[in-house]
Amino acid sequence: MNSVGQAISRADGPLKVAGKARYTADIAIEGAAHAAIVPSVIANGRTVSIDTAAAEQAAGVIAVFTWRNMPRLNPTPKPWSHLHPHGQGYLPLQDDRIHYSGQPIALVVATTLAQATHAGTLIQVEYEEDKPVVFGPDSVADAFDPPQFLWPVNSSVGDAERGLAAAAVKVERTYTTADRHHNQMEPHASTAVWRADGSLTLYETTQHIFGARELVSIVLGLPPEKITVISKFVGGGFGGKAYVWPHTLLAAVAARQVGRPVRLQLTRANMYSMVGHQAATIQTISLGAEKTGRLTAIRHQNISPTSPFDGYIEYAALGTRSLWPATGGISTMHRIVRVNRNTPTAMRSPHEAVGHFALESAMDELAYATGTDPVALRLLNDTEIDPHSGRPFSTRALGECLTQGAARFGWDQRSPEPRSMRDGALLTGQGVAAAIYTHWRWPSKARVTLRSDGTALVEVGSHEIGGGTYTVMQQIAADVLGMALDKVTVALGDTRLPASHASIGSATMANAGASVMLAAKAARDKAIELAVTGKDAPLAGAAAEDILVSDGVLSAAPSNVSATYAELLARNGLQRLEGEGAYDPVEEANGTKAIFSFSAVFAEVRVDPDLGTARVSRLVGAYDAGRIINPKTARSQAIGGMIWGVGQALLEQSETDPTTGRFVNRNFSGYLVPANADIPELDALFVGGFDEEASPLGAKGLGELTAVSVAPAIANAVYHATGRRIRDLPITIEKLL
Amino acid sequence: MRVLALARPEDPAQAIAAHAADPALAFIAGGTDLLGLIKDHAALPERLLDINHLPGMSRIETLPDGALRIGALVRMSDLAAHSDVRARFPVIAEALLFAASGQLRNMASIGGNIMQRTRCAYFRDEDDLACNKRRPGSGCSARHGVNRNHAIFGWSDACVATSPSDLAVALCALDAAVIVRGPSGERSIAFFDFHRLPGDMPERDNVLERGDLIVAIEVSASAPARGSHYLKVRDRQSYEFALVSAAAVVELDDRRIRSARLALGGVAHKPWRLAQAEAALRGAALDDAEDLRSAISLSFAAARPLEHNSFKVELAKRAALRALQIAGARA
Amino acid sequence: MDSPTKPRGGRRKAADAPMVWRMGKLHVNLTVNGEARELVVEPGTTLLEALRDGLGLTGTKKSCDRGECGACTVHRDGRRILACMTLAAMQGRRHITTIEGLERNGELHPLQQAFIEHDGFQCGFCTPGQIMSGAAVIEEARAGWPSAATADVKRPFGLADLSKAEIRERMSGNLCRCACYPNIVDALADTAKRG
Repeated sequence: MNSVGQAISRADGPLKVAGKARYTADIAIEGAAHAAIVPSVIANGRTVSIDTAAAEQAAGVIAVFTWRNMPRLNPTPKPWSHLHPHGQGYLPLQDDRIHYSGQPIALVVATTLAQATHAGTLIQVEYEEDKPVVFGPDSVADAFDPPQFLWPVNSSVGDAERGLAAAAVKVERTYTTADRHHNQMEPHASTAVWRADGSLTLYETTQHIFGARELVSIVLGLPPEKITVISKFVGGGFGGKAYVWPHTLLAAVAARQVGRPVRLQLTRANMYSMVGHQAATIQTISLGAEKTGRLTAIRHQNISPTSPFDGYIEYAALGTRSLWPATGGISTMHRIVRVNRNTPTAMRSPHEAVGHFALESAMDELAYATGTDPVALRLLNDTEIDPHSGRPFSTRALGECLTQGAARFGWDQRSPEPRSMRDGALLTGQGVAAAIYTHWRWPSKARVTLRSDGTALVEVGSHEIGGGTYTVMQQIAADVLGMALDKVTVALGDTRLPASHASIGSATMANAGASVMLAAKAARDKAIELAVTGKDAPLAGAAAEDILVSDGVLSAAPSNVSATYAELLARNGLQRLEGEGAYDPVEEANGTKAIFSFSAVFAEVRVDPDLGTARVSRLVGAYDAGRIINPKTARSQAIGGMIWGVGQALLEQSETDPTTGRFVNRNFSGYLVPANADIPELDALFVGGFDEEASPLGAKGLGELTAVSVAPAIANAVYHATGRRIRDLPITIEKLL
Repeated sequence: MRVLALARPEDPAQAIAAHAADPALAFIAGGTDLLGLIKDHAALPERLLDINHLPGMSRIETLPDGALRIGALVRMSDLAAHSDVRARFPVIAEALLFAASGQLRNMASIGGNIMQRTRCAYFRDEDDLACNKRRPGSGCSARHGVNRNHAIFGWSDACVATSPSDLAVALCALDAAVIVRGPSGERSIAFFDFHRLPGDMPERDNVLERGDLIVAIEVSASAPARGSHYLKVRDRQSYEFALVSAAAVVELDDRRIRSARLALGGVAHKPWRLAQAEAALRGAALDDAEDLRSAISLSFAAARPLEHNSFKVELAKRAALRALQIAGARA
Repeated sequence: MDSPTKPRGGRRKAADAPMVWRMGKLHVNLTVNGEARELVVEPGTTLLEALRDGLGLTGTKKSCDRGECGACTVHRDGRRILACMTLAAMQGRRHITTIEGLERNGELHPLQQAFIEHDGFQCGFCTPGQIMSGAAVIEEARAGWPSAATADVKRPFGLADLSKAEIRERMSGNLCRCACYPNIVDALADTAKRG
């Protein structure tokens, strides 16, 4: 009756298909006013004057805030870092400076959204404009060595330079990726409700309720216990709702100032400047190898843009530190450039997805340079030891990913020469890429309560952002408790629940899941204790470890005496029995094993040689993400990740106007995410096993892994199809004409 | 949205008189373009006339001479599904089916479709950037900005925008007529003359005057259009405006071209007819791709690509060639 | 100000008769999910806003608000449309169905059930729009409508021709950023096959 490992349909499915799942902006708040942001149209300079008179007179307007009348906010923790939950350090409406196009310069609060939006258009702004700095050849000259905010900025193992100098075969190339935006279907929203006792409830689109509470607490100077953050359903996160962005602070302060609840929902266009994005990269890779293809040296350098005020680093070379060993040495380096834009942020899959495009494209180039099959080249360079830390990998089924993926794909049918395969008038190409993904270990607490009616409640301050948290937590608890799935209810997304971590980094299953498992064990063990030693103990004399629970019934073979949870509670006069779970793992970096997820992605494309269109016709992804808790939701994450990779490879780019430094294509007709017709049949297979180092559940991270190395697999397939190596994403028509 | 009043005229004359008299009034049919423009503050009508109930404008008819008459209020999906249109004018059905989405095609009217305003991101920006089409005299942000999607033919320094309607490209190739009723009566405008080049008045997309109401589109049956095709090239497989598109209508004698009509989309402020190519194609062998290509190239001497769209010149030639070949194979 | 609409069924009025301008708060009588409802809206209120804010039918989502994503798909007189791109005041006498009205007698619509079985969603935000669109796609195919994926538009089309390629094209007006497209296609194909 174990549900873990079964393809269980989602617990929240009936709500979601009926339109009954309530997302932040769906929650009706009595008396709520609506706010609209007025953004700056310049990217650098200051506001000389902001005339709000007409807006203040407009129908329904309650208040207009600019930097002049906005209360001063406490600064966020320094130095800026993603160890703190703030998206950017520069806070809204605090001074007259303009640092980026789309920066909030006024906030209108009105009875209705239409009134607020209209009044915003009546605000007259006079600017003093300086030429903005944009990311490009000119600004890249000013790239600098940034302070660390997650991993070390640079790394060096062995002597990569010497290894390169001595290499029999060398590949040295520059690869670039475009700025991209998350574009969750649900726009960010925040509804702030202040109570008479000075406490604040925030209905928030967030992947990190406790982080939101922490940052709002700091910035507003309000004790965290006076803040409740609620986020029961999030309409897509992808990292873009992991940190606190200015609109949340604006809503909270505005609500306090006007003395009534305020809802602030970003418009689609707002989502290109009010919240972060994935920074473009310029990556230079040098691979040195023996004639066989065995790597002797790897050097990977990245330059990416950040805001004028924060040092966000896109750690594109992170995966390169650990994916392939090089006998001579591996060095990586990250530089950043200050430009006039808001602070970039994590976006599925931060660091690895952009970095692997360079690394795994270069590996393909090496395969051709050495006349090695691209799968064989990777198998040749496989390793059991993390080249970066020297620690053994906890588990690394990359070889299985490559071989089983190749078998499923039919790699042996591929003819190696570029332009050698056709489908009628179309050129066909097949490519492969491998991937490694960071595994996060974070503390999480949970509570599991057995109730007198024979049901159980799981409480964990985690989130449902699409990964299936309601479902998998139910499975985990039900199995440990020995209870039917439908007897277990899961509560998420409320800071009054036991504290958990951000739902980012593909970490929810391994960490929040572990805390639920521990809490369920604690609750079960308490029940077992009652069965053995409690009032009228039905299983008195049995050893606790011999007691089995199945379908809510506790028994100890060979005796045929048994009792249900409900009976035990009743017998002992209890309404409930609580188990607490506190998962507090050693940080990955401090463990004895190197823990990573792995994958191999196989892509087939069809290119119209006349019109330059490249379409993906097949994708096979093989994943080592440890133990799979729910193959149905896991497969959905996998195909979702693959499609993210298709977007990265072929479609997505946020274009910057060279003169005004503004993201230009700020909507779904300009920023192209994949549509249904872009996506063929997709195939995902899971080849990993239980990884006890990664989590007591045996699971490693999956969601982000699946979006890594899709783009290089596609780019490699495009090369195979056309003989053209595209080193600049996305691969659009003009690059293939 | 800042719309102050709404009315529903039941007679075209009433609608026309109101529109002629009130510069802050706009007609609304499907609303799928107008409401977006209003939300982006690119159109600021205060009063809307809901023309959906005007009589006689929702029919698809075959006239006694075989011409097709499409009421201006016919929805895209109905026209695309119409069996006579599919059989006799596949280029129309295809242009419609490759446009927008199923939902939008159920809403958008044919009259509104050909009136769609450009998708230039600067024009549509809700923050009111410099754009002569939007605010005459404010400048053209796209001229030296991000202009991959912009014109290669017929642009001016004042405006480099392209016209977004797929259907308009097909209708242009078919030499359709726009039937317009205005304050001084009804007139027929040749489709080629309907849309304007930007010149120094890019705020005007077409030749309509205040008080003009499109009542129908007529497609003559003087030349058979069975041999026709609409080819759309775009980055995304579906639900995207054209990077480049081509409509071809071909008649053959044996395997030689008796007449070819070619129009391009995504390359100019209006559907772009390839007149020189059409002349040179007369008598060409359909199977001689090189010959067809040379003929098509004649019309590209006038191409003036911008910084980010020089690839459109070659892409448009190839799109035109393929559309011509597919249309020819159907003829 | 409350200006009633001219009663329908009356014949055309003369060109010189004054037009009735409706402004301020407008009352719109329509049918939503089988029930007669009265909306009180402003001239510029979209159907989407009226459904969500006026009737509390929040299953219909606002995502792009520009007709570029499909999250607000509802049915009007049986056809799928985008609620963000039409005015509430123009819906008098129309029949609107939202995701909340798709169930019959407390039973999920077969397509809703198929979405659960095939895991046709992750975060669920675009899901109401996907399902409303998908239900209409099956009807459009049944009605013989071709699509851009139809090899030859001259030929008749039928439900049996609703291949996966057809479904992909017809569902492309509904973006899904979690990207469940293959599962959505499977859910539709399954439902269409079961008739």
